[in-house]
Amino acid sequence: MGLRSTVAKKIGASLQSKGVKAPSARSKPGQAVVAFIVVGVWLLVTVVPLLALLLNSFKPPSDFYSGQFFPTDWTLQNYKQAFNGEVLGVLANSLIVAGSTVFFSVVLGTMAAYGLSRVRYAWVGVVVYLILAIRFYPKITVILPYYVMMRSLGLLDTLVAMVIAHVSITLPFVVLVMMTFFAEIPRSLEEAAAIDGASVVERFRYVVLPLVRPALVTSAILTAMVSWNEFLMAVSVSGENARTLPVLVSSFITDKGIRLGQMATVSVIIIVPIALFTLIGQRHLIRGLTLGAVKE
Amino acid sequence: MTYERRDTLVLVALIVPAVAWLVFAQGYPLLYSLVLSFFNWSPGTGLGDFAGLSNFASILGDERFQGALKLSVLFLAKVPIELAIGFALALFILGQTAWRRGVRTLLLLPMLIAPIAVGSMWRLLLSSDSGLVNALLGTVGLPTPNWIGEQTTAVVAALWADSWEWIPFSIIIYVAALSGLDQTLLASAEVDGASQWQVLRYVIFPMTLPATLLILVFRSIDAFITIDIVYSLTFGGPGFATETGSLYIFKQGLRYFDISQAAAGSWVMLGMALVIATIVLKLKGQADRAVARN
Repeated sequence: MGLRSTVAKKIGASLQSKGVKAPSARSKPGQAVVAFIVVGVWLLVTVVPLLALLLNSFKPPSDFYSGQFFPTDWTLQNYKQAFNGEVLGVLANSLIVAGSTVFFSVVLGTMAAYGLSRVRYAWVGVVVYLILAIRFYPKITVILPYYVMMRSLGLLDTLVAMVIAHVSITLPFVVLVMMTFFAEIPRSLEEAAAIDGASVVERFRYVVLPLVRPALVTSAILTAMVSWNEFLMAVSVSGENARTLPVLVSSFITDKGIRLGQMATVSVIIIVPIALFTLIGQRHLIRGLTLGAVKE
Repeated sequence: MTYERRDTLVLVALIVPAVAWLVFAQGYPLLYSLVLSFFNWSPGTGLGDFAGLSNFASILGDERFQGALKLSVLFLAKVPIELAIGFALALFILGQTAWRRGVRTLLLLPMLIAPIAVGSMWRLLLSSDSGLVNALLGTVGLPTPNWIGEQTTAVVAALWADSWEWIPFSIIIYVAALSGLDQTLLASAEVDGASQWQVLRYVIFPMTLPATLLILVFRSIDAFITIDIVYSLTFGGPGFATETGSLYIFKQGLRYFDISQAAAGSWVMLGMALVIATIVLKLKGQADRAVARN
């Protein structure tokens, strides 16, 4: 089968969950107490900071130097200020960039994944390896020339430059993850369709795609998340006009002290949709984040 | 299944748009950055004169860059601690009961949040006079350092914030690996009289080795090239104490517009990342083969 089929395995032997009983389920009562304490502490370490951040966004400026956990005087002032000011436009940018990124990377990535998992040329394996490599090399190496390129094309500080950059980061996720799903579809289905006279495109459209619909949703969620959170490429090519929420958050640092409330509030605006997504639909998310290496 | 020539052409045509996009926005810039590193690019003149290796020489001689690389290596060095904590927590939250699954979802949260927001969050929580951390420390009578104001504590804060975000990645991979373990093997080890420590040491560790190395593949490179979280936590300060290699290159290139020198630095980082990847992938190959043999 050559390189192509081994790529997914290369970064991880299949780590399939079979829903078996946990080793710790058989342990002694003393260990259960230890487990309870350890997990409890880590749960607090995880949740309390997020909660504190959320509460910070409801504090009036005077509360910011008191070190209190709860606001003494609950206020929506920070949110009003945010949405009356620059945040609304930046939020719109984030949504447009994430939406476009999802569209292009899911459409083009799924097409490419199908082609790559069905074509039998030696170079296909090399292409897959190169796509995989994009996930791993330091992005700092790409942002400098990318800045120079966008500058000479007159695209600096435009949403176009942002979308081109983000799709190039998310495409590898979609391609590699969709390839693992395509690999799981029994060939006999496509063969039967071929005997009935279906063309390649028809087999892709009417036989294969309906079977991977949940995977498409996963790819879309993952892609939206990566774009929504992406900072480095965004900060490199955006100025006042095209910046996204992470870029805005980073800009509160230079004038610290004055805008702690805004920093907390915009951070909350970034985190809340992601938290909701996670709580609602984390199916296949791990497979996505590990580029198909772990199938939960 | 065999494809006719025309079908194969259609399949290749499906691949082309994605590959073209990646070549334009990743492949070409990657190679162009190598070109930039051998010239003296400036906003006014463009590429400028051929510079030979002078950009590499000057950035490698820069003590600030050396310090930044050391910090990046320190981020890499803390990855085993992430793995250990992740492994321990995974052992405790295995299983399919509703509360265990609920706990797992909550513990997953940090790694899904934008690193830039995580940095901001810890900046607020660690602020010396108003942050929650010092308020808690003060209440129990512990010292309340000026976390992000002092060099040593700022480095600790940066390492902590990054670990807080990424320990969940270890947890979740180990949960998947441990859930897939062959229960009969564990049971037979216990029947043979192995202590719990022996089961852990001689059965569970070796069998989860592929998972360990999978986490290493992702985390070692990502930790080494950290930038977002220190950008919003400290922006490299105080002084240059928390400036990672990537952050130094970013400032050099896009703040001072010394793009050629920054490009040279970025290829130094890339070379080091390649060495790390080669070592980890080699170990991973050995581990996978060892598991396949058993």
